[in-house]
Amino acid sequence: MAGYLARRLSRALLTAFGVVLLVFLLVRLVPGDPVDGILGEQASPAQRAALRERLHLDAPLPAQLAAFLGDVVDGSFGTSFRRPDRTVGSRIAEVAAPTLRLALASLGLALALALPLGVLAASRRATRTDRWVGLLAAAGLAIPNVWLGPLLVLAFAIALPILPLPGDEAPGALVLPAVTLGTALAATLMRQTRAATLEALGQPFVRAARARGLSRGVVLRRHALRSALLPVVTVAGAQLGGLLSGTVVVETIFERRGLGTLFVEAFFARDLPVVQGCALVIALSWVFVNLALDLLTDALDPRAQEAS
Amino acid sequence: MRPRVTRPRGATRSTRASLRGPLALLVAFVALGIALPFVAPEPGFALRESFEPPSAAHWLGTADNGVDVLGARARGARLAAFVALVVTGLAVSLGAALGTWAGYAGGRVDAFVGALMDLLQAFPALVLQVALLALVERPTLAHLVLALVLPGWVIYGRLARAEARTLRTRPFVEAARALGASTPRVLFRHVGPSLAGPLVVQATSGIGGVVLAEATLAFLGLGPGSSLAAGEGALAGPSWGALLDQGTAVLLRFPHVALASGAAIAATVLAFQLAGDIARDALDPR
Repeated sequence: MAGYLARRLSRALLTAFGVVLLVFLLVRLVPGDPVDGILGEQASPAQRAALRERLHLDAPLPAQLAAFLGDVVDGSFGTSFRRPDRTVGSRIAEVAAPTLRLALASLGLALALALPLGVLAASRRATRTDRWVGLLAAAGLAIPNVWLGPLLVLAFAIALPILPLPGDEAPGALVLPAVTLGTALAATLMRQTRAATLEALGQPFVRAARARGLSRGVVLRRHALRSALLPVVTVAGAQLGGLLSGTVVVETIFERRGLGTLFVEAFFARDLPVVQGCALVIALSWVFVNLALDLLTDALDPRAQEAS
Repeated sequence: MRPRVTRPRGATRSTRASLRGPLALLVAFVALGIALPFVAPEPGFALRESFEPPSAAHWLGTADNGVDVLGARARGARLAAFVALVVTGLAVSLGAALGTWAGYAGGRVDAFVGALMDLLQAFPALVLQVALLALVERPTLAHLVLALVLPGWVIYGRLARAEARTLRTRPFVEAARALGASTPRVLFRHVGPSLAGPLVVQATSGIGGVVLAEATLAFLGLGPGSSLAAGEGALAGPSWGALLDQGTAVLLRFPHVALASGAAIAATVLAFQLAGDIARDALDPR
């Protein structure tokens, strides 16, 4: 077990190192001088030299990599171009909480919708209910976030003004963004829950429980759903990356401060260290969430561990 | 003109019938792109006509500066179709080539390609695309295509690798090798054709994903299609995403712009997704 843990951890660390390396190389291997992009063509040679030094661009490549790695390890991620008094790390820390709230709210919403509906569809397989749930899932998957957001605002903040408009800091401001972000995830999870429950319902232990005289409802809840949860949790975790990049779009639509809007703002301000830092934080958190999930899955189901 | 539907092997008549809905949508999508710039009013500056509701002259109303929404949507369709086809074509080719090579050769090649795919998948696609576009001052169409292909090929690569790995040990491949066929010949004549089915299935729904990704980037204001000013050339003009961005900004007073451009994106994505589901049923026995 300890050896297995170490193997998993070292693989995740290797991927994380690859992520850092890729981000580092992206900025440096692309044609054109990053200094031109930031300062424009008219900058004086002195300004260029100063910026070059601040970015460690005058050092040899291995030294630059070492400096960058140091910045990553101590959590500062370098210094922001536009706000030289701030480290990238502190700017990211500022906006991490609202983004995390949004992501968790969407995840919770998706699970709350997907589990009951998926079990319902599975228990009424090939009936009208099943088809309606299937249609709902297909629609949820097809509708793009960029359109669902404005539609929801039109419906629930303008036509029927029960929720705050984008940009307003009122109670309930989290509802529409969370619905926008959670819909596609809910649809995926619903399909997964239905499939996993159907599979569980075909297992001998379900038939045995029914034979013991337990009611359909009890068997569904206690036996079928419980064994269906594992694949659903795995898929939910695998979708977290999509959720993270979804926050970029949803935060823009709803004018929320967060990691996503910081990322896009930094893009337009040509603040490369911040773009770098956001991309890194998002990618690294995904790598480690995946690791945690793998370990959790193995703890829940020893069979998966033997297989890997 | 009716679209010619060739029936894939193994597809039943009912599959053929159910392909009609999505295909009709797709034909409409292409026809809109080709025909409408000729019939829809040319975009001109007519400040007084900004954000007019739908009328006889402007079927879907106008956007900022009197730009006809229907006409802009038609030009957006061209851009979307071009980007979607080129990106999917490149991503499938690259994924098939690298994936097949890795899966068939195994060993170090496989480990390297596998690690590369893991690495690219560690980034959510949108994050990688934004980071890539951030590196050039004025992203052109070529940059956009590159940014979409780089994370896009991985899914085809994984598919090709998994298939090539199992195909390698299949008797017909071993037989070809035993008969003295060279590795390229085995790959092109024997492994390749068996790969086509799953790749086509994945690519069909993937096209819709590219349309969505292009629109999302333009919505965020990135890429060549994000400018609302129609430039020169057949592909110039605002992307659906840019139109949607403008529509969202004036959602309170003039919802028609956002509704029209968003519907175009959603319908296209849905059409390709349905076509993908049907292709899966038809081509994938599992």
